[in-house]
Amino acid sequence: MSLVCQNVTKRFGGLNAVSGFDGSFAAGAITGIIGPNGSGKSVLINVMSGYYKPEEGKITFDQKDITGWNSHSVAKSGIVRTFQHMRPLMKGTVIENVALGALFGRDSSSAKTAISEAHRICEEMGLTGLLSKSSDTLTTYERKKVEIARAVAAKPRVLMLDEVMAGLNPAEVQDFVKMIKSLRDNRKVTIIVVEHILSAVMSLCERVIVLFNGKKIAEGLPQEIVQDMRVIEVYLGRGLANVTG
Amino acid sequence: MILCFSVVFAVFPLLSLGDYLLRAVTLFLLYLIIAQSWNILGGYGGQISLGNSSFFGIGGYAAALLIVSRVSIWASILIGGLIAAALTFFMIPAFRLRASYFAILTLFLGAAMQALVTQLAVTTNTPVTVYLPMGMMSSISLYYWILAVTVLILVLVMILERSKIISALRAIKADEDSAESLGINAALYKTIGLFLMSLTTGIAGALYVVFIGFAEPSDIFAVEWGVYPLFMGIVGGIGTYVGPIIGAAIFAIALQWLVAFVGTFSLLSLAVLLVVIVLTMPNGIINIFAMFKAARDKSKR
Repeated sequence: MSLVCQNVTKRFGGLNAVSGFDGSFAAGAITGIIGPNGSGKSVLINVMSGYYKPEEGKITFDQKDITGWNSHSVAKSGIVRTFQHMRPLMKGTVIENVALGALFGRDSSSAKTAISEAHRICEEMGLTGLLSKSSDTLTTYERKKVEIARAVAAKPRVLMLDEVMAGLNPAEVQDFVKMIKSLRDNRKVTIIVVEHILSAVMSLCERVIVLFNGKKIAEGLPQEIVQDMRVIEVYLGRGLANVTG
Repeated sequence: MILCFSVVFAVFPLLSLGDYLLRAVTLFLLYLIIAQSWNILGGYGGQISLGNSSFFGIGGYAAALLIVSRVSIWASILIGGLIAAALTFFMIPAFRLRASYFAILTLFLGAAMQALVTQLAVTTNTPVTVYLPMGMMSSISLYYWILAVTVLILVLVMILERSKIISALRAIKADEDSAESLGINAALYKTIGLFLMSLTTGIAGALYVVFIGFAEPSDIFAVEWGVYPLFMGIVGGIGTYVGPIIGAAIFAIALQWLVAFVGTFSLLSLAVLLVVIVLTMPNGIINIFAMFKAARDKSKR
């Protein structure tokens, strides 16, 4: 067992953004978290990565209690995430940005090894043509790739990708699905994706968790999830659920 | 480059060009220290402090008090710097504030320190202005000491540039949350930056007090000492190694000339200069070189 949440609750004022979430993310699996807008997907990622502190519950990683840890300590322990909204990259080149992950991540290394590690990762992810390009001249697609490469350079054991495919065209989405799968296969990293593009989730994930109003309403294989009445109901409304049912 | 810098400025007094130039160059070196010092946290780390006058003043005032109680000059200057650095611990909570809120808080810290020191002197019934004994040191030997400190700071920042500290600060400047998500302890690196900045600015304040011969709170705690490094950084190029050096040179020359030719309008003229530079070269004068290089690369192709 890898990353486990027990009864995790995050409140904002009186609102339960995530309430009583139980779930475990098996080592080496690709798990998708889906749900309509405001269902608490990103909040859950933010709680698991230490960006928010949960009000209740416990998060353990390889039996170690990491509840309430700071973001940087969580990252050092091997849980690395990307952000939903594109964050400004550090001024400088693509290779410098990717090396940053290796420089400070799980096995923080010297500048020299960080750069060579970054070269390897960029090659693996097809960024070779961009190495010395300035980070502020990249396209959305390239920037998202650099963000993932930087997270990968931090040597994650769990990689949480928060809507990395938003804003990409269908061909680019397919490319990302392939890339994420090969990251898992080559590096044995546990992957958690929060995603709106359902077709991508269905082809990428081995397990899917559905959140609605901060609560888990379904969990299972992708093909089970698409037939789950409750899931259809929250996505399409009660009336349509009856029609399809 | 540092070697070249040291040799040029070490030879300079041997030309004996007169007292005025020696004083002007001494001031330039002091400006350079506070500009490069501010650059560590403000330039590389993007944590804009407007209150470096508090470190400058505390360092200067503490050193002055120590010197008049017969502590040796160099110990006094170092302890002055360390006392200024001790202020860091009061500022750590300020890092919970981001960007402009941090800047505003540091600005108030500068004003608060001046009030505190003046009030303490009044309540303990000691003269507010501390006069140092005359003729402690010739202006030439003081010049060499200040040059030595300047070179030390330049070496320090060069070492920092190759260390993880500057990489971490640059990542924090770009985006603190993503820096944290890569395992960078932002609070730690910002505190290191703040400590180094306050220590070196405090030492600069102490050197300044020895240079002018007295410590007057309304002078050494003046808001200007918090704003000058910003001016030099922006003019030269924030977050670069050479930028603050160029900025300090321009600032020192401009200030001397403007005081001589336009008198009371000198600060206003500096502000105009700043606006012109920000409008034409938002990344500082250092950017000219980058622009030339880009143009050359383009014509090559």
